[in-house]
Amino acid sequence: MFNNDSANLSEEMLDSGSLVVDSVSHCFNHTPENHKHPHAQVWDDETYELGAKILPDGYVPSKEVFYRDHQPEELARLLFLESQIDYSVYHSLPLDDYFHDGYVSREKGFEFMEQNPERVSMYVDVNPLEDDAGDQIEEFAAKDGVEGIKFYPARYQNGNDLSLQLTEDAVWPLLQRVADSEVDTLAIHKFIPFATAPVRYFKPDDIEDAANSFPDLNFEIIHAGFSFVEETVLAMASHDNVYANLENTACLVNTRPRKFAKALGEMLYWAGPDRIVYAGGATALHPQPPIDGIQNFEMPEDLIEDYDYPEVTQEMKEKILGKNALRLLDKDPEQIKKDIKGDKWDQLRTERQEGNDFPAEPWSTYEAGSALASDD
Amino acid sequence: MSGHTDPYARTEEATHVTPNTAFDDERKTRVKAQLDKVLDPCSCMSDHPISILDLGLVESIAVDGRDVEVTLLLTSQRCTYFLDINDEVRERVEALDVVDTCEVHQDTSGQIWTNDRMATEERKARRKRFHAQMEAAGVTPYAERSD
Repeated sequence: MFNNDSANLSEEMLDSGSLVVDSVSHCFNHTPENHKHPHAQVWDDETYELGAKILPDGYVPSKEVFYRDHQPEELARLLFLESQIDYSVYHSLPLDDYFHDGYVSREKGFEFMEQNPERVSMYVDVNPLEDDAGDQIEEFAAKDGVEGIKFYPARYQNGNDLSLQLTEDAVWPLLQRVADSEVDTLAIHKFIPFATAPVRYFKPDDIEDAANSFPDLNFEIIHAGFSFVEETVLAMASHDNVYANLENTACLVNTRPRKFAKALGEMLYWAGPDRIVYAGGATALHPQPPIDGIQNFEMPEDLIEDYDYPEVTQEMKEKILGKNALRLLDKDPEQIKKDIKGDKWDQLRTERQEGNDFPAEPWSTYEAGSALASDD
Repeated sequence: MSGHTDPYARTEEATHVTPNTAFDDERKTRVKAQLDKVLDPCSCMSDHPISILDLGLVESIAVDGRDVEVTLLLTSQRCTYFLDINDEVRERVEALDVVDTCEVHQDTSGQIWTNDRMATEERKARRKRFHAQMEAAGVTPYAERSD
């Protein structure tokens, strides 16, 4: 039910001509050689299991596809041939306490962006505990294509889970460095606890303080709606510079639709439709099912009646699937359409559309023989 | 706004132990009362401490003679406070004159804690605080703005 129902589209990916923008993609490295800590295998396995839980049947990757060092070329095919995504924001990850390359390396992100300059922006991870973290922020933010900085709320160091919430003494001064830099957005992982870090680190309370003190910075909270929904909508409703990024949460539209409806309904009711952005979460997840799910989504009647949630209109869906993200990135949709028209991916899509093979079957653009072939 | 109450209220009958759960076995009722005295450590760091019973952590209570087994579904499988909760549950349950031993298990069946497991009254109070917070922050719901 998710495939091939868009075969008659031109280069713009929704029927309306509105662009689909993916606000988080990654090239994960799930190989044993990348493990630096005994918990790394648990991370890998839990990431795989998350996909098995929240993706519809047929979209869960085989273990052969999943457990590899995903490459920029593979990510590009996954996004641009297997899904309707027109533009993506690559997030590198700072988990070098568990993985040698941080889990999602910066290098692969820059490579991905260089290969697809008209279709990719990047948020670069920075570990606030590094002595030169402020200088790193300034340096990376000045690079072409970098539109944001990415933080994590906890770090494992010397046997302890350290809180890296925005209000910590080690982190707070860096917010000024981000505000002074060339980027306007700070993204932070929240809502999905990991490893042994206490759950309270994953609440968004610190976002409110930060959003209040740095009104010119945008704070993009990743995995919004997965948990702590009320705290999230409080932050969003009281601060115009707080954005909800639906990475992973968007998948619930298919597999836990009531939970998704309530989370989205709360956000729409309290904060409105302008600061909610879709994210596909590749390569950990297949990005197409939530796009189909959001396009087909209707707010259940009983939730409209009981909780005053709004109907989810086509206009709202286009905002969530792309327009809001482009506004956050300060990109002109018409310029992007011009830039990508006739490019390699547009041509390949057109060929596939003619053969009624777009979006391509899930994970079909991964070559079985290419697993682990990361050094060529 | 009158209709906008609590979307996370429980709509189906609870399968775990809630403050309203009635037992035929008097010993289980007394164990339940003891569990209602054990406060969730994380909530103690907030302004609104809540017992593990009200929070919906108590999956089951089993009694075999004078031995009790309590199974808890934690909000996180790796909750670092499990040892503290375990110690306090054992201490309080073993203090009952009808109990010799109490073992505490963690539910690892794969089900996850969701906030609809909270006691109805606690959820209502929590939702009320949420609305008060919104009001204090001067938030008019987007859906009710006229501009």
